[in-house]
Amino acid sequence: MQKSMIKKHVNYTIRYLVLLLVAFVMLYPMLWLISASFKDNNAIFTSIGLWPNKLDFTSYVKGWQTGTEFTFSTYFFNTFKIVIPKVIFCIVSSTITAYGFARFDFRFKKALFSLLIATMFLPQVITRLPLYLLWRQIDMLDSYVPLVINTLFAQEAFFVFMLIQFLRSIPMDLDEAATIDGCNSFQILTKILLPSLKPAIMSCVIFQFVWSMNDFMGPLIYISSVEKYPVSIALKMSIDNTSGIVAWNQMIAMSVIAILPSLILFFSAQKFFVQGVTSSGIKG
Amino acid sequence: MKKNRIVAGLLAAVVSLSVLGGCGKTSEAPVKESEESTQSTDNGGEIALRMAWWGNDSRHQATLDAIKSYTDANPGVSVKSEYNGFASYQEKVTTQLAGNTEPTIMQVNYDWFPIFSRTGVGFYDIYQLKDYIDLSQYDEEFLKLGEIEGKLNGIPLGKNTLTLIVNKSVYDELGVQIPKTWDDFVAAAEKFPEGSYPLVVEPRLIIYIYLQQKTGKSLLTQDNQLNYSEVDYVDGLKWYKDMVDKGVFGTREDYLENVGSTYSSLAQNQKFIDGQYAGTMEWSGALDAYKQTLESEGQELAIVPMPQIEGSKVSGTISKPNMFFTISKNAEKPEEAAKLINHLLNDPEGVKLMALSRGIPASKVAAKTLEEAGMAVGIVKEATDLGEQIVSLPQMPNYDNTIITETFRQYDEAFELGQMSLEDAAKAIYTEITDALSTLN
Amino acid sequence: MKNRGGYLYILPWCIGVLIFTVYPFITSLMLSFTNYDLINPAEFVGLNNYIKLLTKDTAFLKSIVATLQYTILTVPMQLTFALFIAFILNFKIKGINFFRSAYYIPSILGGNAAIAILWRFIFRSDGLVNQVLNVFGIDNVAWFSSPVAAMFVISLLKVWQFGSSMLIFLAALQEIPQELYEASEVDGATKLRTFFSVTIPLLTPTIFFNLIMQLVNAFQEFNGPYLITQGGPLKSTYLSSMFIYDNAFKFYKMGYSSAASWILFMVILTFTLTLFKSSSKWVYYSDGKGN
Repeated sequence: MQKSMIKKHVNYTIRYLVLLLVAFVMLYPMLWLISASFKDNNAIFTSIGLWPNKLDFTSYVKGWQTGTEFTFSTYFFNTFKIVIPKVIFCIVSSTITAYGFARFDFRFKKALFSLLIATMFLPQVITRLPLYLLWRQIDMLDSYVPLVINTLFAQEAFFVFMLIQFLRSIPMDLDEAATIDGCNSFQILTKILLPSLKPAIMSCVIFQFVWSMNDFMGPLIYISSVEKYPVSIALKMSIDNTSGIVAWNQMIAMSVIAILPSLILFFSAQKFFVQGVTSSGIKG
Repeated sequence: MKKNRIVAGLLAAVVSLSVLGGCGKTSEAPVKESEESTQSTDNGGEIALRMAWWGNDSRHQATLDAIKSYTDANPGVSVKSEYNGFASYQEKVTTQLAGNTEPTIMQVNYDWFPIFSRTGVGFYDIYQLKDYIDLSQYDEEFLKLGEIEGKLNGIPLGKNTLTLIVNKSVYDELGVQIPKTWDDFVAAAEKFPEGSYPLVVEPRLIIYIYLQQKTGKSLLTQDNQLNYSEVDYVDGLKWYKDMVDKGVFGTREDYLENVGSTYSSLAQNQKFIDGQYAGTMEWSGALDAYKQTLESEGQELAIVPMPQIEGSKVSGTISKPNMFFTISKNAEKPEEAAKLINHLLNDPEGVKLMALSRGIPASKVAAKTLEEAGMAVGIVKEATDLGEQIVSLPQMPNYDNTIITETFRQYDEAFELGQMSLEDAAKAIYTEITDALSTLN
Repeated sequence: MKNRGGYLYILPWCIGVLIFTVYPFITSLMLSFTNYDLINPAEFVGLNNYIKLLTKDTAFLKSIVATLQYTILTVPMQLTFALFIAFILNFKIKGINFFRSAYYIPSILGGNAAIAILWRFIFRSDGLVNQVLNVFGIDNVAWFSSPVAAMFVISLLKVWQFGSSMLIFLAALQEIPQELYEASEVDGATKLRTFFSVTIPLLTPTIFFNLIMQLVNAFQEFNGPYLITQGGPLKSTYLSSMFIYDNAFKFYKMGYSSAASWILFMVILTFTLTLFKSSSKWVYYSDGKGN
């Protein structure tokens, strides 16, 4: 008894030590960024220590104001105008499409599924120009439409494929029982399957949010008015070392702030991943 | 049978491609008027221009102010500014040019001309607009650098000269005189501790300076042929490697570890800040960053005139126009764009607001205005003046062509890291650059 | 359920695919048979681009090899790591939210420019990594001037950003009914056995998904080498996507670049097809439909 208690404690301690060590490796860049945002420009490159020599918010204040006509409030607002519709459209359309693929049989299903997967194989560098010309033809350049609209048509195969895999892990018995109860196929999706899909959908929300926040090339190509720039572009709009020093500390300070929305979302989404296995549930 | 069908399918695809007019590139088709259209649109008597440039905060602010001073004085004109950092600016501009949606006025680099306007019709011919832009303010020869097949594609804003700079404080500390000749540099290098170098330079550029002095010719002829022979390349690479071995130039390994695989500004590099890279070579227009960095460390930057090799046939270094303003070939009212450019480049009011945000202006009236206002000061001015005193051979825009620079970089790296012999590397550089040039013409 | 209702659900996607995928795909395929510099009209050259890429262009072939190395190096490492961490972080332990968030942060940072500075900073000659190695009596490693080490550095960046795979595994673990663990426990299985006999089989659809996605992403990896090594030294980390990007927007050979993309497309297709074929042997779907 005594022995197994000790063993348990040792196990427990080791597990935490490993988790903490890995957490430090993972967190180090974040700590470095925060510390760099308080340093002056030269010290970012020369001082190894994480502790800044002064606690000075100048880079945050100046970075937020920017040297341009607009402040970061504008750029953040613009980012959300792109990201929020993208997340909503993507989740709805991808879930519906995945449901169609996972739960129904129809002709050409295999071919269409292969097409779905194959859409991910061609680098975007190559498809960008034709799409740009397409949007020019219908007069939609310099608007958020080209950035958002494809999510309305479930065009990001990653999400569709992922949800298909999750749907296929849910036993069919549930659907069959519901059909007997008189549910139509759409009700099966909303009432029976969605509750089980919650964790998967929540991860999709997080991915789409984070990736859209970070997307640089899309807005770069389609948006030309500075007043419509999102954060990802605003972060780089003053980086040009041929015309003077780059205020890295301001850029990093704004990057730290730009990470916060994603981090807050991730943290608050935790409750969807709580089922968990109780530690005692499995023998050590 | 099946094979034939595939070939037929491909041919059909290609036919439809040519019908599309070069794959969606409808260069002849008129572009609809829209927010994004390049046209200076006429909505209710208002003239709307679009202007794009890259830069940092201070350039953005200066340009925005100068544009505002123009629109304040010309209430009928509105200007939409589309500015960004340098990252991917070229890619964006390329996409816009491919789609005929480019801004009315665009800041472009010298080496983009052969790509965007091979036969001179890629941009509006500014000679047609000489009633609106005072071209007499420019040195005729210098202005001609913006000319392609007799058409003025862009106005060069200033001159960039390759300049050697050193960290004077490092030399003071070592008790060594700042070198004047390559021999001085070799002697100085002996005093440098390990991992520290008198100069860290891009091999291509310093070798081209060496070859220019040796042969008296610049890299390319007027019709884009290579002026240097394989033997010249052997000679240049050998000289460079010799200087590396003597500790004057930093080693490739050191550069890879501390800077990167491609060449970039050292202005905010740790080893430059720490004084371990005690000098470099940079275009005059970009020197400010180096000076600011050292100043904030309490150190001093000094310009060193380019040393001459023995038997040098031509003094001096390499110079080129720093950047150009161009007008879109699709501009509906190019004269309005020309008037704005004239305000920014030749009108004392605009000039003072633009200040030194794009180096020392090439426009005579602008240079004079800034001089009189006491605004033409600092390291960029110093380097530009030095550049004026020396002979520099004109460079063709393809001098900076990415395929050519990348070819050189790749084989020089292999040579310096001992993966390729001197002769093989020189041969590869020579033949591949010659090949590339033949496809570019 | 064998009915046609399925068409209704995938209809939006079908429409979208025609506009957003089929159209640009066909355009790029057509371009791959041309010389096109983005400014002047495209010029038909037949199969020349493909022939040149596959027979003469050593840079391209080298980039394919580097991409394969990168894929083989990163995919299994990242997958194992993600699965392992997700498994641990599915227990109710103290501070679980903190750990999960901490582990996900690298993925949020993505391709931020500051990451490039930081990554070079920690791997440079007197950087953090070498200092740690010195503590263990290991000599400095030249991370960026040795081809092998540089490949390792960019692979590490990829593995470090394992958060997305971890999250997908976590979501999948939520679906596993608690009773199965309890039943296994009653049978007297150890934690390790439960993991292999209960957890892993139920996770195979997710493992399969992550494997496919990691593979597709690794084959198209751009950010790591672009930000950190710029493809060097000696082009050792010059991955195919960099080759494609450079040819399109630096060298202005859009046709050539398109041809390279289609070759890459075929490579990825071959790998994924093989995986899909193999999946019937090891992926278990609870919907009972098989593969």
